[in-house]
Amino acid sequence: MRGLMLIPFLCALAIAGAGPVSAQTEVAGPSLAVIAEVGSYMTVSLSTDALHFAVAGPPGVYGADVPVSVTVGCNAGTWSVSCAASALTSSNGSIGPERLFMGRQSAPDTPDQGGGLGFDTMDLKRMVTQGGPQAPQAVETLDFRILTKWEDRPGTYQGTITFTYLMTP
Amino acid sequence: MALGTCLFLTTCAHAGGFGVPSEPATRPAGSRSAILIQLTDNALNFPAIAVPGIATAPAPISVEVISTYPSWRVVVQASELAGDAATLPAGRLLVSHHLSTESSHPLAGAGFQSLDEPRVVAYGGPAGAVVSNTLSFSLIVDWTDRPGTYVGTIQFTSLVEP
Repeated sequence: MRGLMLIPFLCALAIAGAGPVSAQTEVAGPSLAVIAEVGSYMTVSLSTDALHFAVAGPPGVYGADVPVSVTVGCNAGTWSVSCAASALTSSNGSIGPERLFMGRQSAPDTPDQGGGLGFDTMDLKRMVTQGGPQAPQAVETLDFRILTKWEDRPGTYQGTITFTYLMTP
Repeated sequence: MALGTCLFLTTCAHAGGFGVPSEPATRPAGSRSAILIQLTDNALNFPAIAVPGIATAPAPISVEVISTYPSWRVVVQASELAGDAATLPAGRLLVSHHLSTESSHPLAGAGFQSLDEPRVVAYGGPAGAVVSNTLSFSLIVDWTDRPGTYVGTIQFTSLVEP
């Protein structure tokens, strides 16, 4: 019991003897004003830069070889991504954008406009997706189709689908 | 002692060539020693940040410390940067200098320390020594940081032992 009493006493002595080893005084000095101007930034990337339609059969609707995943990152308040198609041309003729179709996997119930349920014709600029501030992430997956006719001459047809984006700070 | 200190500080301020008006020598009440901290600028700008990532301030800030204390340290710490609709945490501001060796932020390079806690940028003793350091500042901006102007403060504080 005596030993037990002594230990707290010695600890108390040790603490009192330690005291502040060195009393530091804090003195405010100059300061720097920090000004950061953050601009608007946005990135849009696609999972592929080319689509192929292997039309080896009779006239009809054919799908592209791969779907297209759209990835968007943006710090603006709102943003939107749209796309528009040019005509596909060859030395033997052309296939107009009204015979190209885009299906958004997030909108499978889009009425059939000639390319099947869930597909919009690309005779107009079409909204792909929209959102708010976010780090880059996949936001939509697109499937493309083409409608061929008996009048389309054999050959290789080439065109472009252009993606554009808008953002509002 | 007080007169000698003043003359010494004035001479050093001119010798350093610093462009900012001299900070008055500060001394705690009852102390006869003093410490002077001078900076080459009074503002730190990160203009036109156009991509997320690490933005580096265009010019470093030099700090010069003159003290008559036998032992002293100068630390810096940042406030959060306030914008119209959001803030950037103080930990997104980073400092690098020859005394900092280990990075405290995973995205920053070697030697960059986040300013959400006091960081030593100069220390010295015994009395009369002049210590200088060059500080490089960076700011981490994220994809979700809204566009706009953010404003805050980096405070220099001396810790002295009378």
